[in-house]
Amino acid sequence: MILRSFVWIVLTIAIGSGFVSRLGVIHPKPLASLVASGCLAVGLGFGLSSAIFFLFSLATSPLGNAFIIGEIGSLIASIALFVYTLQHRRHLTGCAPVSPIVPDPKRRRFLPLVFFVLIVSAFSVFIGLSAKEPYGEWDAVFHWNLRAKFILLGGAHWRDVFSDLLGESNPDYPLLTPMSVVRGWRYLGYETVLVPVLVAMVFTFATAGLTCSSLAILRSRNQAFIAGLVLLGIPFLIIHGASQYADVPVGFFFLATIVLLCLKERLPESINSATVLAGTAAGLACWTKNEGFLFLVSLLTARVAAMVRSNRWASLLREMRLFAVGLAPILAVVVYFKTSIAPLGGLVDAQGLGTIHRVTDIHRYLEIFRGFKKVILSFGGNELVSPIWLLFLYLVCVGIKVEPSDKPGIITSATTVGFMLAGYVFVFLVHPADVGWNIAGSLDRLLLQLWPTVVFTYFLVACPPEEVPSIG
Amino acid sequence: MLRQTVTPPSPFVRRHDIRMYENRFRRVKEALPAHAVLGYISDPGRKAPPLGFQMGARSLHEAFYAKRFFLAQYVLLPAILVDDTEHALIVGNFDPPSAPDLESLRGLVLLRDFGDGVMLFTRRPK
Repeated sequence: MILRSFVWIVLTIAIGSGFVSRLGVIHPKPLASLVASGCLAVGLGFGLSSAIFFLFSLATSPLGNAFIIGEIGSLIASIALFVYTLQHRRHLTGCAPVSPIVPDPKRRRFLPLVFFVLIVSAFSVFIGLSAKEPYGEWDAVFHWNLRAKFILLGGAHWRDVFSDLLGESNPDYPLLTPMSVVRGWRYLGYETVLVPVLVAMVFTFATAGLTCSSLAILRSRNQAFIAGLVLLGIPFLIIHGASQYADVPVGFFFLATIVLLCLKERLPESINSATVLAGTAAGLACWTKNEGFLFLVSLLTARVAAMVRSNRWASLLREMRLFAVGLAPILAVVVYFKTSIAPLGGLVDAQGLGTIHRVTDIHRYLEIFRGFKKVILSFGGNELVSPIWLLFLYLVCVGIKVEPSDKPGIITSATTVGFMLAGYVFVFLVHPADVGWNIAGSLDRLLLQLWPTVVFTYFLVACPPEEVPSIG
Repeated sequence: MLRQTVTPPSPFVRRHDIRMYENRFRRVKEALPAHAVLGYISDPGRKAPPLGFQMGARSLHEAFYAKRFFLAQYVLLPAILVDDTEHALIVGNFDPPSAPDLESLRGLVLLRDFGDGVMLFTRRPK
């Protein structure tokens, strides 16, 4: 079992690595660059391989071993990209200007130490929670893993998982998580709770790794550690990650898209891969949860606004073309799934004359406002103080310092998050379920999806501690 | 955060629930065709309103009804459970210590009692 698990994980990372290798090594921060690439490779590897696994599963019914052809094909493509990148590495590594390195004061060595302690604690808690509830929580068991189990055991009938007979398991939901789990089970040869636990663990810690490493590249090492402390200091991230819901994976892809768009600004024009990979990450967000579509629309609108604001029309057109190259293949899979296989989503299906009544009901607006206020102020689950207040206080203390090259990325990210929140309000408004129940059951998870992106963007704006006169 | 490892964050589904249901439903699962679409009956006094988008604030009994249905569905996969008695075979899922409510079983014929509150019914011929 250990060998099979090893092959499954290594192959998945290898598939992602070839594509991510096109980013090159960003000097002068090779270690942070390596960690960022590794985290992106893990996430994109799981995402791409699940989409390919889905396509091969459709082509062969019942699920046979034909998916191995897809795996080998993906691996060959990845290796070819990697070899090509190695051959042209001079072109890739002689670039990437980043913010000037500020020497880390020796006295601030405690930050890496505290971060190390926190990440070990977070890992221990994740293992403890997973050992205690290896099947995950309600949605994981009855939506994501139930569907994965049906796909695995369904034989020639596996597509019945998308029928209305299993309507309560939301058959219209995208398939990244269940397909990743089924793929893992196929490698291991049997159904085991180890696979969904590992998938959840990989996305949870890749989110933390990507947040820290990308900030280490774009800002400073200490800024990255502080961001890591804030991110992992929220118990909800680890608890919810271990619950095996798809909110942490979709949050990873939101973050990856924004990080890649910010890194792109630090790379020479000739390196297109960051924009292409951003498109892929956005597509994989759509392949993970329906919220991915809202993210995609919000992102594109925000990006156009950011580029138009800085009068970069030529860059915008080029960027959109490259973004579409990365997005199109994944989006095609998702659109095919949504239009040809999955039933109509319950939210769309439930609209009618009642929608007008709900939209014009002032009490629903008030209830949504109260719900947002309550959940935002208690977000994180530390039961002491909302991280929002701490972040506000921290910003007052250290001040703001924005690199000019980060401005488009920051504007894109902040506007995207704003549009997403507006989109959530709209969904709560038109949703036929009781507003209070709906918000209580889902808003904290929706905010968690955005949380890594918010933390990343926040620390792109906050002045690094080395550059605060009273501290440095 | 460490407290969460000993205090369940959700009252709904726990590991031992799934293990218990796997044991309870093992024999009925062996007796059923793998890909069957089956009816389902439990204590109708606890029947939940339709789930999904009709779902709202539930009573505790309704929540437990939903939990029992989903647990039965999870362990009987790849068979599909439908929460009605309009199918040729109907799985009964009752609290082990209590007898099923006979009123709710009108129109059904018991095919086999697998013990532990798990039963298999068929529809009485009209």
